[in-house]
Amino acid sequence: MIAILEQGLLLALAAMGVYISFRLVDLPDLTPDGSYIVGGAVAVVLLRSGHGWVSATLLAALAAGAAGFITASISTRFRIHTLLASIMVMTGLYSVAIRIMNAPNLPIPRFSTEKILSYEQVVGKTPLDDILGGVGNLQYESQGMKAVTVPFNNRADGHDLILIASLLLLISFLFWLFLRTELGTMLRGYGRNRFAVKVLGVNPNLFALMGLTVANFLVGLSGALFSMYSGFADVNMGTGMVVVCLASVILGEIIFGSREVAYGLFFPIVGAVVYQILLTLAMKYGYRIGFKPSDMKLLTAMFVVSVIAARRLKKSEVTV
Amino acid sequence: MIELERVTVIYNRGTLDEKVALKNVDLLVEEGQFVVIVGANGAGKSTLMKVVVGEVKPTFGVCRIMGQVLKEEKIFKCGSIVCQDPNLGIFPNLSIEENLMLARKKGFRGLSFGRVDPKAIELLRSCELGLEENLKKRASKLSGGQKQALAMVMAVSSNPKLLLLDEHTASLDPKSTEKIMELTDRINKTLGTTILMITHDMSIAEQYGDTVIVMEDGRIVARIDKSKQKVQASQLKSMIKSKLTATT
Repeated sequence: MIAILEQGLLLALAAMGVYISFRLVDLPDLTPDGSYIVGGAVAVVLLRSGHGWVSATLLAALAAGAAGFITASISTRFRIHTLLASIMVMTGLYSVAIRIMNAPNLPIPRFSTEKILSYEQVVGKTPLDDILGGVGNLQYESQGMKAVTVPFNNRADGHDLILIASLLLLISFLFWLFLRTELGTMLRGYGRNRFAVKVLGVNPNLFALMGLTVANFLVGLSGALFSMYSGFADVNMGTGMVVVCLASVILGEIIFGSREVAYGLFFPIVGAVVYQILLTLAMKYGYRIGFKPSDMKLLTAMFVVSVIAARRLKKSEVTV
Repeated sequence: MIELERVTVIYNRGTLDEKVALKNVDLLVEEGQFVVIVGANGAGKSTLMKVVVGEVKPTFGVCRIMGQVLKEEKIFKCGSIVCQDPNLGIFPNLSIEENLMLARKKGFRGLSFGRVDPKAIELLRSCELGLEENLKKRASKLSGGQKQALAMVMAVSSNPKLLLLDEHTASLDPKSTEKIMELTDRINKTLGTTILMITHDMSIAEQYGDTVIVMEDGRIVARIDKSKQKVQASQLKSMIKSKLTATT
């Protein structure tokens, strides 16, 4: 159960980002599918190059935030719908992530492999040299890596849970505080009435930039922490992220109903944890009715569509 | 305050859909004046308002606000607008208090915790719609008249020099219309705000404003200065009608 909560809270960070873009500033943004990978890729590459986990996480989140800024810039500067602008950026980020990692995936070395000698280093030639009868090259260099320190121990003993929960609470509190300020209040107002922002003598585009940057910053943070938690970054790990996060937000909205606690910031947090629990249950018991783990994304997408459809049929307000 | 000099606006110029919305319009609104523009649909009232707020650039002629040709964002730094749709002037997802807090001043905001100007509360109280008693209430839960009253108070909270009203009572019931028009008049008289209002409601034009401008087919066909011409409210309606029939 602890591991489920840990994963749920890691997802909550990304879900909070999606909540900001889809609900708070009302700009549908698919960049998270790419910025999640960028967050993970930057964090892993920086860890491998000797950076501490704090600076690696922060820089990874900033890189993802920059992706959101680019989406908002394209959308506002060239008057392209955010959905289309974010598809472009998301597609581009796939290549960027591979460039960053110089591979489609990259592991985080949890223990040092510097002293582990390979077959080539011990024997002085490769197995191919044996077969083909070639002369080996004795200059094989050590391919080992230094161990990287990550904040998680993956023992499900509560250490990781406390760390993730504390970080999530801190971020939520700071963002809640920001939303109470004049700037934060105007950001909330922008989500429902851009014209009124303009009448107040403020350029509404600034809030599109701010909203999508912060949203993708949180998604990148989630991607970076998830990579450290799982021990790798993979170029496919962001696929379907927006849908999963949106499902979490919708679950949160269903649970809280009309009660908007802390400007709705609890929707994605509670929703993501519940989503993770439901996902685990579906994976554990779903095989009895023929489900495979690979069916989960389809089920998630169907869930999002059915909730939106149900709301539309009830003629309630849906902004997705 | 507002000066339009031989303004002509042609939409879709050079295409099959070409439409002349304004024809050689000259208009002068002086500081502190309350000018009402009346006219039927398609008379060019809305286009004139769009020219004033900088949304539409004149094809010919020039529009000056306080002696300068200003861009849209600059115009909203010194002026406010209230439109027909009550939801356009407010932030529906914020409380009345938060709406008033944001409206207190123009321009970008910082990370400070805002406060509501007591003058705005006072103005809200003068509407007698009970808004001041429910400051924590979400604006989306207000009635159309209450929303428009809030929008009006928000529009003048930052002490703008110019208030533009684009058929702001068109979607309200008669009782709410009366309250909103009383508030509009009070704003002009007590705060000295210059008001340019467009309406197609003749009875409003009869009762309120210093000057009534009659528009027809993209032109200004009459300018009736109530104080100079000492026009009685009852006479005004027939004057406007006669001006309109004279042009057709």
